[in-house]
Amino acid sequence: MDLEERVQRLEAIEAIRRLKIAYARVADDGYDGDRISAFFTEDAVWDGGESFGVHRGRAAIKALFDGIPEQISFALHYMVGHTIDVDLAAGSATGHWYLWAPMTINNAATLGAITYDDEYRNIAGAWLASRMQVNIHFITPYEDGWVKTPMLPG
Amino acid sequence: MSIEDRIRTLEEIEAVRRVLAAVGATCDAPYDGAAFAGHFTEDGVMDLMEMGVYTGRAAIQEFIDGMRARVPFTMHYWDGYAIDVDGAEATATWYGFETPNLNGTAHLGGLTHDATLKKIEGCWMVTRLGQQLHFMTPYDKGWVRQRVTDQTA
Repeated sequence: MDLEERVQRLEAIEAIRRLKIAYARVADDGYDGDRISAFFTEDAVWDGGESFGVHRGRAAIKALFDGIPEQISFALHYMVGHTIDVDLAAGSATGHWYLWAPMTINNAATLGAITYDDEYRNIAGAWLASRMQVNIHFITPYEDGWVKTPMLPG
Repeated sequence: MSIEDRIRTLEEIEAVRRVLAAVGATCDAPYDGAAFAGHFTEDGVMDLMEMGVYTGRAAIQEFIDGMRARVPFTMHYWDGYAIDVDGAEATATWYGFETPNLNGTAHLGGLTHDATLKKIEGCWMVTRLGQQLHFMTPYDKGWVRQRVTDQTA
């Protein structure tokens, strides 16, 4: 790998890190669907599995996030422990992240432990998420804890 | 931008991240006010909102050293940095999760932070550090039952 490619790879990792943190910040700030969906490619998939469903395309992702504040009135998205792998020739990348999320869901304090398996594509020089697979390990009422109630009902 | 400048930008982002991690570590118990304040410029400002604004290294050191009596234990889990470098100036935002003992009671704190920095004689120095407190709750209550415990009492 020549110097230019090595630098491009590091710049891509930093850009993707910023993308994910920006996603977290907008989620914290009320899950604005327009702002969040702009972090995704037009054909992106947000895969929340059985709990949150699979949402395909920017419009569906926008609709998903616009509806979240009805239930989640507060959240802090602590995105940590990431690994990002970049394939410059393909213009793509993958990322793995841990999320620790104190939330208020239906007016109850709630803790979420989530990991992400992401895919990204470089579109006209900008890195965007093309897939977010959201792996939910627990979403528990704060007062119960994840052994007693690993998943919030509903 | 030349490749040399692009590499320098990446190196500076990492350098700022390292400075901020050191700032966080020195305000963990047992607290090192001198080391903490040493990361600030002489006229640096620490704006803790409801907990006060501290201007200058001496005032910042005094506040941090005073934590030993007020908060016998805490740890600062800082991550989620977004750092922008422009020449010898930088801005940063990040998340903080804290585990203090306040008034003899275990607490959990959810915060976000922001800072501005300047590179002076090869070292990144904090010119302003701010925080936004989202919750500081007794561990046995949670942020819905009691969002914030008064830390100024």
